[in-house]
Amino acid sequence: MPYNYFNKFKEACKHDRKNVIPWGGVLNDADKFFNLRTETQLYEFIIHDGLEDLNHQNTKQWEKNPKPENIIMVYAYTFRTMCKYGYIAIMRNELTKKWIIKSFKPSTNKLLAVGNNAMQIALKKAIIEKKG
Amino acid sequence: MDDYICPACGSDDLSKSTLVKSIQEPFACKKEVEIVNYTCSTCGFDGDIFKENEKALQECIDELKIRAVKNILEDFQQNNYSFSAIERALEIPQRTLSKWKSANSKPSAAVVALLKYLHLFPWLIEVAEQKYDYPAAQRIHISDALEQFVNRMAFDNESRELKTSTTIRFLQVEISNQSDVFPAENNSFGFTFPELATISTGG
Repeated sequence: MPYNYFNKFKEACKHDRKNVIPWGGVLNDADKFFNLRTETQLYEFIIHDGLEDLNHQNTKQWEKNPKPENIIMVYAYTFRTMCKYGYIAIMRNELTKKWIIKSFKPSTNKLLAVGNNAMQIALKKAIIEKKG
Repeated sequence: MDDYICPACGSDDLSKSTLVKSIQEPFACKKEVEIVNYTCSTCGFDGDIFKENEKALQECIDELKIRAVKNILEDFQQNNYSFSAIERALEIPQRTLSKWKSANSKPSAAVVALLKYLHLFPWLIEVAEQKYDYPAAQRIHISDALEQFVNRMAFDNESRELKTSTTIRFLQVEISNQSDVFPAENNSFGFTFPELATISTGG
């Protein structure tokens, strides 16, 4: 389940930081777009529910996995923090026991970022208004 | 140190390199710091696998914050703000600003944030002086905004009217059409926009 997966990731950020590793550009993006300059700041933000309105976007197999027999899934989520919308992608390699933050950047899809509920409400409202 | 393997794919085809990262802090200059980077040639992963950069980055950020605090406080002094007056208005112990200025220890995040705000919006000191009274704070804020607004408008020295040739021509139209929006008797400043223009041009 995607949300359980994220909770496990949060637990790792809290108690097992040496096994959570951000991919190259993640820290640059976290600094540039969200003022999170160090790994510690990033993990503290995640642990303390900084990723508001977290929404699971998709789960895909890691395309560049050189060992396809060891299936690695990439879980992608959108979130909001104040008026900014963000996107986080995480994956875990069960062989190395490491969590990888593959992406942490602004979301390009604001409609999806505000959450499925908000979308549903907006759609229902539009249908009701159309029906008059 | 953990096993020398890629955390993403488990390959041991890793190479280590050093990169120069530029760290910027508002009101302090940039600083460059050398960081370690591992690249996996099997899957393309790159990053700080063994958490070697965290300490160097944090030290660099701390150093820049110390510099930012000093720069801001020096700027206050250069602009003839008295430290003791600021301390009195903010109700913080006397000599606190001097201590922050001379201290080479890491300033707290709250101190840095407060000083950045005061540097950007010095009228907040006046708000504190007025005991954070909301209507007074609003008046001070609007007064400062109006001053900034007027300072950015171009006036004709002779007619003391807005220059129509400037890119803010629309403002003149707005003001002349909306004189009833800013009647002198109703605004807290007691003057109209043409009078503001007079003040600004020294007439």
